[in-house]
Amino acid sequence: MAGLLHLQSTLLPSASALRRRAGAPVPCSSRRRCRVEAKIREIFMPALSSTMTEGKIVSWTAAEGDRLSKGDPVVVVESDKADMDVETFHDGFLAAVLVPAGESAPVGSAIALLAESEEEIPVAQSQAASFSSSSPSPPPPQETAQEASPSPPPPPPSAPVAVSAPALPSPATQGGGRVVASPYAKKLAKDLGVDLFSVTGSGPGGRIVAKDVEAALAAPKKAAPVTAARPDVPLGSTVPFTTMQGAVSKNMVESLAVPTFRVGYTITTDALDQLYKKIKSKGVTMTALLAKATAMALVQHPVVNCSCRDGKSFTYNKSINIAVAVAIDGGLITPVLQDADKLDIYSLSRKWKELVDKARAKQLQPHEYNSGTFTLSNLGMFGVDRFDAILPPGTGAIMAVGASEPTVVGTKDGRIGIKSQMQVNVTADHRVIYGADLAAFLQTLAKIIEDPKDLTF
Amino acid sequence: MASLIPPCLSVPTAPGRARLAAPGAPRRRRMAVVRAKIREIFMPALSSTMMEGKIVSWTAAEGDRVGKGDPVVVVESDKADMDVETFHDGIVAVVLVPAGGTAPVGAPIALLAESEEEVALARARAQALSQGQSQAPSPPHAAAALGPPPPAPVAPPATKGIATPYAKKLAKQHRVDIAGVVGTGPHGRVTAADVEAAAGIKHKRPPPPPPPASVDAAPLVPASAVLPPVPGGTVVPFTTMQAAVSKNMVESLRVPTFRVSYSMITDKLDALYEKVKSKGVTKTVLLVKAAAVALTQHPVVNASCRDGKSFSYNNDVNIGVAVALEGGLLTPVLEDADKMDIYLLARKWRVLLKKARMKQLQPNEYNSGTFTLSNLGMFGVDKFDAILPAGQGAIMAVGASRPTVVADKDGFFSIKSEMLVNVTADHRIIYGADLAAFLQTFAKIVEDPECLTL
Repeated sequence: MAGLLHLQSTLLPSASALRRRAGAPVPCSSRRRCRVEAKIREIFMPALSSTMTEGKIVSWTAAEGDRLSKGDPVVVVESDKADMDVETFHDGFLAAVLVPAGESAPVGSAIALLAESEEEIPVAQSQAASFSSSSPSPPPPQETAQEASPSPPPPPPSAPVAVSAPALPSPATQGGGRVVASPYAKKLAKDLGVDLFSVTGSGPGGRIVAKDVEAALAAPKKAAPVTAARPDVPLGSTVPFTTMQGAVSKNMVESLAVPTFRVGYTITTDALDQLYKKIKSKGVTMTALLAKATAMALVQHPVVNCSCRDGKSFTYNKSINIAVAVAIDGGLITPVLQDADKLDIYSLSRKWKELVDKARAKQLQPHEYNSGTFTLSNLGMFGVDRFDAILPPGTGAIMAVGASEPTVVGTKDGRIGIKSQMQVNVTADHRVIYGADLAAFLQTLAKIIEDPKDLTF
Repeated sequence: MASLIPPCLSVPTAPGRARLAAPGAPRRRRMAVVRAKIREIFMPALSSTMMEGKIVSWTAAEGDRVGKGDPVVVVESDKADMDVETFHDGIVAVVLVPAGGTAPVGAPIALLAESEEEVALARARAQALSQGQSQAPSPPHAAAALGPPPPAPVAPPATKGIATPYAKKLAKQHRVDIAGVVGTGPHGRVTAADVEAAAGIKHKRPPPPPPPASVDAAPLVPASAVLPPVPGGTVVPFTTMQAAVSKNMVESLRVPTFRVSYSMITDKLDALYEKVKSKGVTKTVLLVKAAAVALTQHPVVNASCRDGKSFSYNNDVNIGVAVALEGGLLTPVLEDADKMDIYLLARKWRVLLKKARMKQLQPNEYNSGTFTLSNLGMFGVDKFDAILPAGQGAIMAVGASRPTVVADKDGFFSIKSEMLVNVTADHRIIYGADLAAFLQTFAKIVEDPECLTL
């Protein structure tokens, strides 16, 4: 109680102290302001990809008050494809966090303040206070006048303490005394039946604002769905896309502007399956084998590794980068095996394992999912016979791979036997790839897979 | 050289003087005579979609005398190179667009003089034309006729301080200095929107949606985005033919399509092929004939939908066959395929293929298809779907015929040659049952192909 009273008394003098400082001679104050501004920097929301317009803060790596060095990671931001560490470009102290974990901010907006030295931390924190107070609509002058009137004269020794006090969130209620709240908040509380005494204020000086009343009202309702809903998602409700899901949806809609066609092919996989059994113990996966075979076929058919980016030309890619579609928890992403035609099968498998681990941990770098020139999508593990995949924007073709199944086959001379066969179905951009191009590519791919000894070179 | 200069100089001067001195009637007669003796050769429209043409080479040279119907120039259209003939006798006086240049359809590409006396006059006119094109002023002839241009209209000055009452109220409310706001209303009046813009206010309510555009005016599919160039990539522009293919493929996005596939036994067809192969009949020709016969029994599959609200039933059964050429894709058309026997069709097909390879197909030989066949069987493809060409109702994608183990109802296994056919159709006019019935008929014909030789 006594402590609260003390805080209350020190809150009010800060306003008059700031005002008295503003009344100082002009040259001195301008010099001081200039010096103060130069030593406090903002950390901005970075643009992690060309399409990113806002980012969500996953967690803060550094805490308020931490000393940071240039290049230290400060925050983890969720972009539309992966979670990424954001580094600070300067040395200093993390003085104030402007956007807490779990919230979003537009690209380019300030998310934290960095003070050059410990002396600037209080100034930065008051600057942060002005940031947070400026984001809601400014209070009318009447409020300011009302707030100013009961201020007692401040004792000079308490000035340094008074500067830091406003940043500390504190309940505005004084044990049953007067409630400090904005008029709109009071009106909302009355309309919605919220007890202001139980609400913690987040406005300037611990004042209760409309947002606090709404938050208090919403808080009890949040618990009910959580306890009531047994499945992950309550049925009959609308669930917004995550950042990644939004990006997938956008890419799928973009694909509607590309004229595509599909060619299907049956490939016998007995020899490939035997090879896989031999080298499986060395960490080679079937995905890596298929990626390698595809890359080798693309070397012979570069137009299938091509893309059409402006509607009037071929863009022949220098590298063969095979993207492989991977379903991860809550999303879809395509890690890229770069230069798949040049790597041996063992290096390719190690690289693939590394990429999958990163994908599941949401730590892929942009060039690890954006640089694909051809995409592979495999649903064979589900026993799918055959499917067609949607062509990602900016690439020429995508191959859908079905399951390899024992199949009764016949030969021209009348013999009947059983072979393992899988069906692949390639979707291609018909502006640059014609039917014969794709058919010839698949013919080559089938030969490589049906006689796979070249895959291990 | 010396002899040419004096006639050029004297020709423009003398007629002018003569016109000024002579009485009215002779002046009019002389002008008419001069105009009538010089003609322009225009860039022809070689197809309905062609908007500009590239000149491959000039068959006739400047100064050559040409007769009506003589070829004077070879033009590359989006589908083939074509000779262009002159419609009149005369002398090729001036070539306006050289070989390798491009001109829009309808633009003059050369001047034809009736006699040698007019060659010099035509050249002077050509100079005037080229001068007009380079400087882009209005032609002196037109300028002389119009007289001096009128003085530029005086723009009404913006009236400061004039604002709507609501704008004034908003300005007071948001503390905006209305004198500093630029008005966008009539006569520069400041409106509420201007004040809001100055105050940085955005409307929370979205503007009312625009009236729905007609199907033809606004394509229903999103426009293809222009993506940034790939570092290290090599950009190769489309040729005229490749650009036409790409454009046709993009146009196909506006048509709602569906596909029905069908497997059929081809042992008898293969046997027939072995019999007629020596007479020049190819597998493609047999399939074309089978499709044509089936189409006569299912005319809706031979129809098209061009305006989004009607069936266009075609009189003829014209089968286009997709052919991959060096650097392109073309569909030569076998016209009246239902009426010709397979031997005539085979001869016709050979002629078309040869023309296609030499880029000499006439427009009616690639534009008149009512149904298209696309065959990738020679690559061992199982099954594929093809993109439906604009202006057609259906396209058939034919896969490879291969030995397959089949079981009959009696429980016996046997090996038969089987191929998968996949038809893509325009669902605005052709429904699932229509296409399924057509394929059932087609399969019967293929599985019992005697009628193909009738």
